[in-house]
Amino acid sequence: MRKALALLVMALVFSAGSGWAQSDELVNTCVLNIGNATYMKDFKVKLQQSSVKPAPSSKFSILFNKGTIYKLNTCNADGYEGKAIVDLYDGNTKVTSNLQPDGEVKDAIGFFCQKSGVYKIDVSFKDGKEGAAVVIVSFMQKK
Amino acid sequence: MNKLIIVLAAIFLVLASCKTEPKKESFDDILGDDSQGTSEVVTEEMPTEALQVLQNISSSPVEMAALLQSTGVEFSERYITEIQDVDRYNTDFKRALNLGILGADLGYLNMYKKTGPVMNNMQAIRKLSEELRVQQFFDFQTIKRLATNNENIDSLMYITLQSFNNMDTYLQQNGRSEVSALILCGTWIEGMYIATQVLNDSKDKNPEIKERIGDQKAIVENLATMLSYYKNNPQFQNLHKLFEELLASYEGVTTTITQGEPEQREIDGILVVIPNEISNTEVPDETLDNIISTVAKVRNNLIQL
Repeated sequence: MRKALALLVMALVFSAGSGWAQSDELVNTCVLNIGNATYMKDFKVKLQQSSVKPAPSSKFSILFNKGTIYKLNTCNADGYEGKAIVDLYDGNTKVTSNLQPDGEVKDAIGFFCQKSGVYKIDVSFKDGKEGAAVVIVSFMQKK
Repeated sequence: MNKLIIVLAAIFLVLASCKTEPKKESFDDILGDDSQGTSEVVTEEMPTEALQVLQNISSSPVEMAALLQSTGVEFSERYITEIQDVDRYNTDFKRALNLGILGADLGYLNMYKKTGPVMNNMQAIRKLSEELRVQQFFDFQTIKRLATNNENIDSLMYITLQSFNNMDTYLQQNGRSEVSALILCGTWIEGMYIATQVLNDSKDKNPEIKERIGDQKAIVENLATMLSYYKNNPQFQNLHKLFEELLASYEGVTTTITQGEPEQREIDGILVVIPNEISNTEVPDETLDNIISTVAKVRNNLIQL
């Protein structure tokens, strides 16, 4: 009996490692929030709860062009406590974040690029809670 | 009860083992049936440095088209590749480069809402993606349905871009980063080809497009660096040489940074940060001419492979 249970747990762990099946659905829902902007890319993040400080994060790179306004929309998956914190970096300098000084976590932030180059997007979950989220990067077209 | 648990465990194990395991493809696989038979068999995986560069430079194939449209440039079918016989792309090397080129053309067509040619373009993409074994990322039925209804352009753009993004992620995570790198090279060069041809055809060179082309110097540097990791492979070696030539054509491009005042503004209901560092890229006329002709040379070389 114990052997069989161990085998089952092993199988569950093995199968849980690869994926977050609803992430594509969340991307499809989240993209509805970008308004008139044009979709560019999405980043899917799932992180375990952690007491480590600063909280663990997933890092991504993206190319931004001067003169373009970029939008970063975040949607958190149901069933997880964590709220995604999205920080945008130019090199080592944080240029914007969806975490406001008063602690509010915004669903969308904008960045008017003034310098073409590779920027870094860092996604963590507030207070190191377990979370799953998608970040949609889009750009606003000039009229 | 024991039996039930064992059966459940077995089902989980079978399901887990059915998932796509990361598969490392050798350069030999990538080169495929190269008719010239000049390819060396190289079996190393993509170097970590190259992969890092690749991940740094992935960009959207529609942004350049959006810039052209916003500056009032008219659509022209002359700028995109003529879809004739994609069967002649008989190696994965050629297929991947040209899939990237077609992807950039698709972005251009979508941005200008030209749904008619989209179907031709998609048929070629379908063929190449099948041969590259990545067709599962394209829902061709839905794309066809959206392309026949002009009201669904935004959805068409979203579904095609997401398909390319998902394919790219899959390739990078499954030991096929070389294919991803080649698609990126194709996408980037075609976006550049369209933009440089627009400038070539216009009397007054739009300063915004000119600066965007100048800003691509950093990208050419990255692409040339990435390709340099495969110099032992004859086909990559040729491609690397072409990108080195392209980089050389950028000589004279300068970028300066000035400090402005950072500010925040509400645009379309969201808080937009405007940073204080502003770049200014200068492209001398002679350099621009060199870039235009070299981009055309590289791009035409790739479509005639």
